Amino acid sequence: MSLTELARKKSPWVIHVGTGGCNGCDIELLACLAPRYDISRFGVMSTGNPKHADIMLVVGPVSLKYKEIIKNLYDQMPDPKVVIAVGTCASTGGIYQGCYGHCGSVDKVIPVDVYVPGCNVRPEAIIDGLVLALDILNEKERKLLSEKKGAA
Amino acid sequence: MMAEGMLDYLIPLAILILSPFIGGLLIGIDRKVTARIQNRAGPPIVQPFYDVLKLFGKEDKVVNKTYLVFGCAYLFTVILSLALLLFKYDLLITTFIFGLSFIFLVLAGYSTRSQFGYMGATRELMQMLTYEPILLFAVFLIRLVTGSFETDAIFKASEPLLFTLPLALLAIFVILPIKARKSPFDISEAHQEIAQGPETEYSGKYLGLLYIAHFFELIFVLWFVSLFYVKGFWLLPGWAMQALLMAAAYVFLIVVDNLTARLRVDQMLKQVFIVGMALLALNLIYIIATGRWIA
Repeated sequence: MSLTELARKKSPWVIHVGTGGCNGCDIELLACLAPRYDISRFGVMSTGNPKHADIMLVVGPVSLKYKEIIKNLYDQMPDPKVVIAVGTCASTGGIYQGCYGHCGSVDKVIPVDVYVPGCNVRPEAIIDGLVLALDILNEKERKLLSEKKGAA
Repeated sequence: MMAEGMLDYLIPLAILILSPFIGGLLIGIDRKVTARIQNRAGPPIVQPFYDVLKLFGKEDKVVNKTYLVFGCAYLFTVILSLALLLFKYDLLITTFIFGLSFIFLVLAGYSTRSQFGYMGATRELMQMLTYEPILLFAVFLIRLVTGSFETDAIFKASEPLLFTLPLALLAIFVILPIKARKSPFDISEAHQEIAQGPETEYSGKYLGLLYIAHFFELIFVLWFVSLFYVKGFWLLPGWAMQALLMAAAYVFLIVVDNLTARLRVDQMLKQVFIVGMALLALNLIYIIATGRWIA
């Protein structure tokens, strides 16, 4: 593992996107940042800025109004980037499935790498998902680099 | 004789080369201490280096070329001002060049043409308006006491600046959080509010460069404060007293950062400007009344 890859694993910056659910998973996510489950010990910093973020945590089903916004946010994130769908709603649509105002799960709008199920999710599950996502970050970067080499 | 002359250049050079590492470690310790105060575990103290390394391994999304030029200019002027300070150049020029680095950051914010960048740059400008006059007047007071703008004159003065300019040091402590971008005056950065102001559009290695500039900036600010006690005291040599003063300023920064919430721009302008100017004026009266000034 090179130094950059080690650093990438040690400092994931997170953008937290709430797409209009019931707010239950939001609170669990914020509990992760609070003293009890403090995820900042893994180097996580919560930014409100997609241009600085590595990991996007999406909470709640995607409403039709939010579809474009979340796509825009995803496009603004620099590579390598990972999307985590937090909670049942974000993973599958949950109880909002078939509602007129929603397009269901997040993976219908942007590619999702990690699904964290639960209604609402446990903070431990979110931390597990985050740790899983850290490995995917490096894998993605390697894939990108090999694609670049193949093109050149 | 020759060796002594060489040492005068080698030590500042060593400090200049080491300063990004020391600055990064200081910021790491700050994050750890802040976390412990809030009863959290907190990131490891080498976290800032992980952040910078990671940023260098990321894709950069470039909006336009202008703001990249201003960002690099910001880094170089900060390094230049720190070098001028360490090599004991003219204190006035050093302060002006440090001010110039802030201006480059403001221009970087304006040239991104994003709302957050604009707002951050405007706030940055207001912060400059607050701290720059106080810093300049403090430098003028140092000139009055030592008889020269050269930093060397401070080392040659008969008594440490702390004894002649105690209130000026207090005024510099008041503006310290502005220059270190810490609460209560982290108005331009405010990442919960305006997404890190002038740095909004930076990403990848250019953001990494800005982070390195912040490391240098912290060392500059602490070194400037440490100039107020460069003489030995009792058994301690001069550099130990300098290090002690730097440590005191650093602890002050962390404590104030954790005790206070962010203020509005107008609150900062009123409070800091009035308090700082009053302190400086009192100190001027003290110098003139006791006849310590050299024309």
